[in-house]
Amino acid sequence: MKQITFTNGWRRKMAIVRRMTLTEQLAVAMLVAVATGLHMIERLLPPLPFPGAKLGLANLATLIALRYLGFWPGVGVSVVRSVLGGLMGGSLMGPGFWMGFAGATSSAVVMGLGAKTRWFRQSNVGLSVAGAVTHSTAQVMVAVYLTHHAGLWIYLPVLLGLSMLTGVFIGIVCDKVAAILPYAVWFGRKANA
Amino acid sequence: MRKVSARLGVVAVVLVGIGLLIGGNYALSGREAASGGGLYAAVYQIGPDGNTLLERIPLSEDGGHRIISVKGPLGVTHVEVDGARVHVHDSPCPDQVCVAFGWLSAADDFSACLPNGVLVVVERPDGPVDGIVQ
Repeated sequence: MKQITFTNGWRRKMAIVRRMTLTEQLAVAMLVAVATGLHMIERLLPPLPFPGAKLGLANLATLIALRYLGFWPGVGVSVVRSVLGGLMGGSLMGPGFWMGFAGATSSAVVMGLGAKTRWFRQSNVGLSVAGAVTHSTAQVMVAVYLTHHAGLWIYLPVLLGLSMLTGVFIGIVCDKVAAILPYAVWFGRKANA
Repeated sequence: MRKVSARLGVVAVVLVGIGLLIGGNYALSGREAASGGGLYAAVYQIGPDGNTLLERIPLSEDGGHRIISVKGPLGVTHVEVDGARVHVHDSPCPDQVCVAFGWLSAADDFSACLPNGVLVVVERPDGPVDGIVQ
């Protein structure tokens, strides 16, 4: 199928957001769906023994999007996922939503910038850890801003330690998912044919 | 060689993470023994431009049992003071993070219910300014 483009020549080259092919657009849509699903599943899991901490399963879809589709699709998946999750969970525009939103967006931006460098080519673990650490820092920052109480910072070391562990876990899971991704695509083509 | 170094990095991150987790927890619980007494439980209502102090109750072993009701946008949050410790007993918020913080008894311990705008802090007698700011 030929893609219809409205811009061409130098305007296309100068565009900040690359015009995506239909396959890529579909992939973004599916990743948003997967991320929202993981976000909702995560709410059903038993909470970690540290209040306010989560595993960060939805970060998987953001990582995959950043790795295979680029910077803006990854950030977009993250933003849309947190808005949809807030909408479904009923916490949209509440303080909990803003904490999650700030964390998800900032961690997606940091992971996207990291993915552009050559240090994180080998695996997703480093990226995931960087994102998790950014997420918890941003979350505590928003919580301090919302409660007008700087004493909340004393909880940050615990959250940072926990986010490093969950970041390693999510990164390893992401590597495993990325390893079977080509087979999944092949299987999907086979099923469609 | 490169694979080995990557694996070493992961192990290092895990070790640092466990260290921070244990160290942070130890620092949080270690203050309990250091702070002898004379602490206060302060209950704040979180407002858009600042917090208003609702109650400031001295925490002591022979202190009585008290339940403070705070009315927030979602409903009533009950803060329970039991002798030298305080916790959020129940709250109408969806996540129940404030309840999960459990009993607070050391200086600078806190529990916050952001949806319902309630903040419980264990304060030193020298005032509401916390040690981190000073």
